[in-house]
Amino acid sequence: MTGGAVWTLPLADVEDVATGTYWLRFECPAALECDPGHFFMLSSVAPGGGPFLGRPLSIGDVRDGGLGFLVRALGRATAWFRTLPPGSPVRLVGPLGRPFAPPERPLHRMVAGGIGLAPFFYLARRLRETQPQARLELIYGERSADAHAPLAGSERTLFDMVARCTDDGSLGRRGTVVDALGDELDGGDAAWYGCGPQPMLRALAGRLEEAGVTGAQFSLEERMACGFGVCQACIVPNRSGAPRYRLLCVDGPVVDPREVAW
Amino acid sequence: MVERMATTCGPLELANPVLAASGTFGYGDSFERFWPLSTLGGFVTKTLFVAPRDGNPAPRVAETSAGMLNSIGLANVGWEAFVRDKAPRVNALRGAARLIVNVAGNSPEEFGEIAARVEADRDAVRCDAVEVNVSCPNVKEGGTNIGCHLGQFQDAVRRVRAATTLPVFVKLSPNVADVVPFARCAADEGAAGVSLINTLYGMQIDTDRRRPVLGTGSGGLSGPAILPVGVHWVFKVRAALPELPILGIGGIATWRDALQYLMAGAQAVQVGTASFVNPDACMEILAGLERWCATRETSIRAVIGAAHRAGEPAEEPVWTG
Repeated sequence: MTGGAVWTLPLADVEDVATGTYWLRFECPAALECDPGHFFMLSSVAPGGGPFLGRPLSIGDVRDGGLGFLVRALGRATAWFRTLPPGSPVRLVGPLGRPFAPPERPLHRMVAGGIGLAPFFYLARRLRETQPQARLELIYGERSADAHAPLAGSERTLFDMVARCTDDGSLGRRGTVVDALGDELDGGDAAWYGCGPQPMLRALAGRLEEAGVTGAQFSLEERMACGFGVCQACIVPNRSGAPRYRLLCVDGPVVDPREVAW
Repeated sequence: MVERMATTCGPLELANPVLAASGTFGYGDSFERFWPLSTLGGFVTKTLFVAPRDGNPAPRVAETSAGMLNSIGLANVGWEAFVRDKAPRVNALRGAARLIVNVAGNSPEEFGEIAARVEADRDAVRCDAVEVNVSCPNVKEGGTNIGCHLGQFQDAVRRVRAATTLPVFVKLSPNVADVVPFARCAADEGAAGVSLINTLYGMQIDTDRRRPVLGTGSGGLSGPAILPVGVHWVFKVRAALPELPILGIGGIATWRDALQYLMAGAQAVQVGTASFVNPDACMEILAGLERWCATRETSIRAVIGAAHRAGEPAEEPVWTG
């Protein structure tokens, strides 16, 4: 289990980056330390001021004294956050969960489906510091071009290569990120990371397993009420069967895909 | 200052009236990262069965307008693991905070069995009381079937009472036409007090999928939505059974919510779902009650049941922020 505390932070700014997708940024308190892959529960400070429960959001980026979350408006809370004016206080509980634990490798491959892009900016930024010689690749898929985050400015330079794909072929290669990997998973020395919708991750887990890749790290998502192991909502079926379920909030959100009963 | 906050709920002497409710506080050590356990009046463990339980399939929670539905299904580590892995640590942390173990079974007989285990391990666990969960709506064979049928309810409480000399609090279900006969039955069977209310039945339907959201279909509604229901039943039970100690539960998110329960007749309160959203909820409620009592130069004990004292003149409102 990690630490975590309750913070009330004023919203610094909201920036739209693609259809329905935006950065939610806060000033990052000096005392707040977090690693790529950690998440926070974000909620309304005033009871009744917004959706009742908090929402688990992966840390999107930490830089220049700011803490950012890349969010897609897919439901009640993610639409509500978008409407908040700068200065609005938001409750953040965290950092929570088990973050990425990147191994030392010459190549790091991040596979992102949709808003699964969220945790990879901060992961790449950290890898740039800790493994400056390593090559960082991002394979990023969306349904169509309008949903693609542009990766502006310093976000783009975080990666040595960005391969984009879309389901409808409107940008980059047509097909899923798993299709984009091709038949051969070259780079046996690569460290693999995945984040995205469950069907994509299931397919990716299958491909990596076929190719004999071990040690991949996937950041998963589940409904949760608390984020720190109490409500017992965020169960992930355990491949070994014992125990039957694990809690994503404390045993994840970053997990080894081989341990999940997809 | 501190004495202002003290309260007594039957055999339980509490440093303050704020307890953490079962199912929203783990086994007592989950909130240590946020604040010290010893600052609470007490806390109630997640419901323990004799054997561990995996719980229900996902999704297990759904958000509602002013609360949430859950169908966790009483997932728990089982009594043995609690005694071995949790109790020593929790006892090292809790100071004067009272430890109440919440227990359940799938039949009246199993209620007796778990109570016997609690009794057998009482030196190791050092709990101050047992809370009997007859009212969780999620388990077909036990839960509500027992909590909503007076005969089975009486049988379960009687078996628990016979198996242990620890104080027994019975947690009552609101999913009945009248809670009072259940409270009376608990009192007649020798319960030290009652905890009320547990969750209300509820369902949410995903209109895109045209199916219930929860994996089990229905679940238990908690959160601010149920506050008036809990206050209502605490008031009614207090009116009918003025001597029966009450732990007030249901939708408490602010200190004013807690005060409503105390004024309705509860000697102390349990904070549940609010702690999921705001892990500091218990501490904020405690601070608010302290402030309120200090401003008015009154005490927790003085306000318990205040809403029943119709003969006394109502106080002028004092703005306390």
